[in-house]
Amino acid sequence: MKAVCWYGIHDMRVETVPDPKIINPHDAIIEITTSAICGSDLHFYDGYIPGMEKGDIVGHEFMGNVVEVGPQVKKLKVGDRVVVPFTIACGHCFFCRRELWSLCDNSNPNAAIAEMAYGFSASGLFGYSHIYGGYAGGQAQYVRVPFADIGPLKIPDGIPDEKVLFLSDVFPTGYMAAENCNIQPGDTVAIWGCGPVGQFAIKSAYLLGAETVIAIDRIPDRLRMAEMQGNATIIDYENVDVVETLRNLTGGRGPDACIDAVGLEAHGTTIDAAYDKIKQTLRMETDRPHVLRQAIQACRKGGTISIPGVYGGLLDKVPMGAAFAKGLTFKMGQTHVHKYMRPLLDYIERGEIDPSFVITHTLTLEEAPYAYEIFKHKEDHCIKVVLKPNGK
Amino acid sequence: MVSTSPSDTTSMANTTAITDKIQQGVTGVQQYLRKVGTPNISTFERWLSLTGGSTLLIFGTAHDLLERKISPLGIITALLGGELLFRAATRHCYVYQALGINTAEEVSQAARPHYRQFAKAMTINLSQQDLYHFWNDFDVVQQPISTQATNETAKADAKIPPTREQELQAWQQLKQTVLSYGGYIDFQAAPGECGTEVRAVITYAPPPLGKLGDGLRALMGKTPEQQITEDLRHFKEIMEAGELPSTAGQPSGRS
Repeated sequence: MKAVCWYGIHDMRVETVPDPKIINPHDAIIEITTSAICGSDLHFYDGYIPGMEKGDIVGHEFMGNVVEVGPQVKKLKVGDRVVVPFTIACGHCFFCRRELWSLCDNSNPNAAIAEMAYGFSASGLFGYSHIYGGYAGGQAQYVRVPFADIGPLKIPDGIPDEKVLFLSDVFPTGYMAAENCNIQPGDTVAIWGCGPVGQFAIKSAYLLGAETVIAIDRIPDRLRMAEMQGNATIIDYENVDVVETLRNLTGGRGPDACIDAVGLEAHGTTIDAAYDKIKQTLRMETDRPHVLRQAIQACRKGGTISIPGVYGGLLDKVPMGAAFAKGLTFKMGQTHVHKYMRPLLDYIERGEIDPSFVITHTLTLEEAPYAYEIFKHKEDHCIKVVLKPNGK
Repeated sequence: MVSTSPSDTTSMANTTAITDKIQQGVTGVQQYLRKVGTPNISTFERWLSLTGGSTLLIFGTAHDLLERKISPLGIITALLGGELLFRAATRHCYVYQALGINTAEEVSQAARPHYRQFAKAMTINLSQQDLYHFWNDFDVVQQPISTQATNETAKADAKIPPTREQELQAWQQLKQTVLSYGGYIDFQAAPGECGTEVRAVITYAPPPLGKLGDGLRALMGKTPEQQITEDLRHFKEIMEAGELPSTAGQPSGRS
């Protein structure tokens, strides 16, 4: 089969590789109809994720049809159409039972490595470094899915792939980020980052009852989408002082909740952003917490900082003193996708949201290297690329 | 073949004789030092005596050398330094002996057991009843599990799983590793709804090369702590998820 493989910084190649096989009794094999590139894929594209090996098949947002099931798969059948969550969960451990699916104890074959870095290992992920299990990902024609009765969500016929694909990651991610804000009536939510996760966070914040959503970015296409599709008040951070603007927009109080939908590769124009860039280039800092700093400064006293943006390592010069003095709550982590897929599918089926609005490019698998490039550099008005590994 | 002249042979023989003598001297001194007396100085004091003694010996000797005469001060200082060095070397102080003082650590070096002990625990999200087959394996589980039910009641009520080969294999692997290190396994109820804590307690004679060896073995994933942790993890994975997570044989750009 054909698959998108990582070979180094800015080096993605489409290779011919063997088809996946059933390895464990609860596995299924999916023939992928639609796949997507995630903003977090750009972190390994740029070389910031340790534990990648040349030749790793990447991709963690995918859906398709079941073509084979293992001997202990009871619910899925060959022919079922499914969306697969990007986190792999066993369904039976302490964490899965509490719906903390992305913290599964039993899905990372390299748990010992993750433990060295983080103390405990979270769940395995598709297509994202050997620290998270090294599972072959879904930017490919076929993929092997462990715990097939637990993860994949069956999709009824009649709904196009583009409407449901993002249940695999970015829609639940934006939704969980908004849910973590503990939104109360009248609340203002500020969201840094108008990529796909930010766009879904905007929509989700309104679904959850926010009065005002303010979206922050610098890319015109993304700000326009946030305004037109998301009904957000927009701030271009290259033109204004974000913290001061947020204060003014909220009557001097500050936003009630702040969502960091940017993560470790934050870009900024202020001196702390330059500091991060230099330190990171010299490998003296692993992550660039520019957005996190702004969010802490801007948030109202007693407010919440919600972090769906990926961080991997160690941060420098984060104003913990300000966070403490203002009594902020921090909520973060990889999305517990399994918890949200069914309820969010209901929103889609009722017509309350059509997630396909974020798609700007539909390309073939062979065009994946080009797709990564335009996604990374935000060229050609790129906001979200989907791939069709097995033709349209 | 290298030919040797008579003079070469003689000088070689002389050299050998000299090194032999030195070796004999060193052995003799070592044997004498061991006979001096039981240790009555702590390790810290030994180091103090070593540094203090060396300093005094050097200063005492240097003083006389520089003055180019032998002075009582120089002699006394050097002798004092020498005595401190002697007590550091032998771990025995005659003054302490006379005064009945003993600052040595409780167990002398020779008798101190060179063992290491550690425990590793995993919590399995199953009840004690579900794990009945394993905590009843008294080859390696020493304490009866603290449960209100008796063994008979537990047997009757236990959700006895079909004895799946993988579960037994994972248990046997864990058990063999624990027994090979001379340890035991402990089962305790975890608090709340967490399940059961399974704890392996190991006492073992440390392998060679000390801390440096530990570092090397840790890099290769081969320390007892790492082995036990992996065996416990595999047992937990099998019991909870029914399989070990694996990517063996999956496709990649390398295959």
